[in-house]
Amino acid sequence: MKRLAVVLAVVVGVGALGLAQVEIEFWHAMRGGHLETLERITARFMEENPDITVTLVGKGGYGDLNTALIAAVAAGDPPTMAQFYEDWVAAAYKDALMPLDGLIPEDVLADIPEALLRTGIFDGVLLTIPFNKSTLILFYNTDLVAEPPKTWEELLELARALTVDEDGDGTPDRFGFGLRPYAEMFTTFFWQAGGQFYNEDMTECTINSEAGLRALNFLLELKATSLYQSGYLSGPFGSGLVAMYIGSVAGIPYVARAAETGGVSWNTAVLPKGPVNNDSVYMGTNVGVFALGSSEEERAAAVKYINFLLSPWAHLEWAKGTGYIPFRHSVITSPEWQAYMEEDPTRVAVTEQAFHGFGYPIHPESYSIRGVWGDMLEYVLLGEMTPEEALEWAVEVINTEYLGG
Amino acid sequence: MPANTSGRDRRREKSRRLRRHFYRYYRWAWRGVLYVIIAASLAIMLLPFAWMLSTSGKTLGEAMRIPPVWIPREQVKVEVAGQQLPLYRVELEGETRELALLERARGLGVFVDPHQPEQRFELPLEVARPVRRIRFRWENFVVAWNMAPFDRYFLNSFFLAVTTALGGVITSIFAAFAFAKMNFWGKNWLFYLLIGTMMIPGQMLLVPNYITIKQIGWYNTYQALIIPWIATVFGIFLLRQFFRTIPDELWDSAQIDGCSRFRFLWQFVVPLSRPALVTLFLFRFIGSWNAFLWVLIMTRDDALRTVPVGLFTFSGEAGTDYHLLMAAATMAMAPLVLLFLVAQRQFIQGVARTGLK
Repeated sequence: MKRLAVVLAVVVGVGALGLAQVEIEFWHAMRGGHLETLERITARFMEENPDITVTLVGKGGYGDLNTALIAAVAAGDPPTMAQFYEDWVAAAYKDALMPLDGLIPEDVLADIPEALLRTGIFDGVLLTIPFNKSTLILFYNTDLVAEPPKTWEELLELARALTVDEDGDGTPDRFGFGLRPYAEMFTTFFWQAGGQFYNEDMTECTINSEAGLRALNFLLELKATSLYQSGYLSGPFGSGLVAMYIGSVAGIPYVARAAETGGVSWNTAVLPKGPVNNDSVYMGTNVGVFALGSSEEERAAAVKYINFLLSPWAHLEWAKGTGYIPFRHSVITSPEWQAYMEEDPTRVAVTEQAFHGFGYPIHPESYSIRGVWGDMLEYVLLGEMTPEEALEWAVEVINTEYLGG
Repeated sequence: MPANTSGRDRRREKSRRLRRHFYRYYRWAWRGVLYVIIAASLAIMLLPFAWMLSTSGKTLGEAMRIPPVWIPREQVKVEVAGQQLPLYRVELEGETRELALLERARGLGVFVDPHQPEQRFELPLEVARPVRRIRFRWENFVVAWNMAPFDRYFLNSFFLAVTTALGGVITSIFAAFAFAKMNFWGKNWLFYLLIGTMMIPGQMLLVPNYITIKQIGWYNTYQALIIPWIATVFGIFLLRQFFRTIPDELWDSAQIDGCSRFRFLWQFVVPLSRPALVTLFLFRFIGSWNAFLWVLIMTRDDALRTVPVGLFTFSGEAGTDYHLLMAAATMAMAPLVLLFLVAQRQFIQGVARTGLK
């Protein structure tokens, strides 16, 4: 009897050691349906790994998350993992993050588009992995647009044809296009025109080029037939006021709801092709693991969780539940995703666009530089500067204030 | 002479009457202009509130429509052969008819007469105008309430607002009394130094404060949300200004009657300063009620979070659910409006007597 008790105690003890709980915190900026999907995926991970507890800690929007991370790193006690924009890492967290080289299976890395993977590589070291990635996409009203435009010229022509002023009061009753002034509207068209953002050693901004002029002039022409507003365009599009607009794929759920109440039929298409390509900028964040303040067990658990997020099941669930782009080639070509696209045709173009993208060159001042690009676009579209003046102004500000020229 | 005098008097009287008339009309005109300005200012200030209230009963599509929709409506649906179909108004052969939309494709719609379902018409969708009726969507409040643990958030907001406001008032009473009624070495310099700290933006102190809170082990606790906020420089300044209006002779006579400083403070100064105390309580309550970044940074658990953090649930990176956000904002604002209505008189007196603007 005594011996049995000892054996039982040993078994229980070993079991308890084997199942020693590791708790990791994941600081994120997900909300609403995005958060619900993340919670569902995380619950499944914990079910499969009962020795790991992942605590999802929402830290508001991206700006608030970065403020919280700066404070936590300064206190030497950051969470085990978090979401990061590339420029945050370059500016503040490069030394605090754990290199992920060799910890993510090679076949998984080879499955991710190179341009997307590059957003997580800093000085040749893989520090973060793509997580909630989005691209721009064309939304169009299928009652008004039979065939989505394939080129810039077709887009302009169609936008002009669809702009209607029925009562002749000078204000269109329907706009062919919706235009929201933010940096990505310029950078995407600039890239499509063959532009390069910086010189090779990133000491000079090179947007003051033929491509820069083409992009700004095109956007200026487009504005003449557009509803121009700084707010999201899902509402005006869903109510039928706007026939087409270019926006983030993360806006799909909002468009779907607005279009349902407005009784508008819609679909998505890949971006119209510019002089060189039809790429979209990759937006959204990556995930990384802090080496600072975490134990070896916590880091190992976080890597396991990241690998789970990249697993076919989780990747598929994430893309389906959030609208973010699926970026693993094997997942996109899987029968499950193909069946899903048949169910939801708006995802066909999203999937195609996922492989036509580019990432910004990584620079610690990217956030501020992006702000200058956005201001420049607004100055042009509001008629405060000509495209030439605006490009010159932006380059001067970026070179002197952020690139140390 | 008398005739001349009476003539002069008449002229004087006439001129006086004219002046009186002119003055009266001038006063009326000026008052009219004043009322127009006040009414316009009031309209400008109330417009966002009106939009908030109206949007809380709209659909997302209505909330984002340009030009704005002020009265929420819904499209009327009719039952045709067991199906609920949207109703449209269509001009057909010079006659306006109400038809239900059966199918749509490529800009064309198949319409059906609800009373004669066998009659079908294929028409361009552009000629059809939806039939709408007024409908305020009260269910938005229920949906918004259920999208986050708002019961907990409201409880936390009340608890934190009351404790920080009370704490702030109590600590400010002592400090303000010292600055207003006591004499000690370096009093003015200390006061200026204290006032000077108001110039430092809160965001700048966030990181050092976070490190302090972490090091004393208060991260993710109520202490972190209450203790740092029960000392308020603004409160000390506000009450000092008010206490200075209480005559020193009162303290002199109290002293003659053997009153201690502490008793004088609680039995004379505090009751006399009720408007200022209520004003400070309101300011602190509103400040705490609206606190967002501090709560977000200093806590990890949802159980410790407050209403403003909950309001963030409705904004995403590609859009905002304005109708739900406005429903939640209406609920979040209601306690503040109620509190202001209750304490209105004291609040206005407090603001007027301390010279605050």
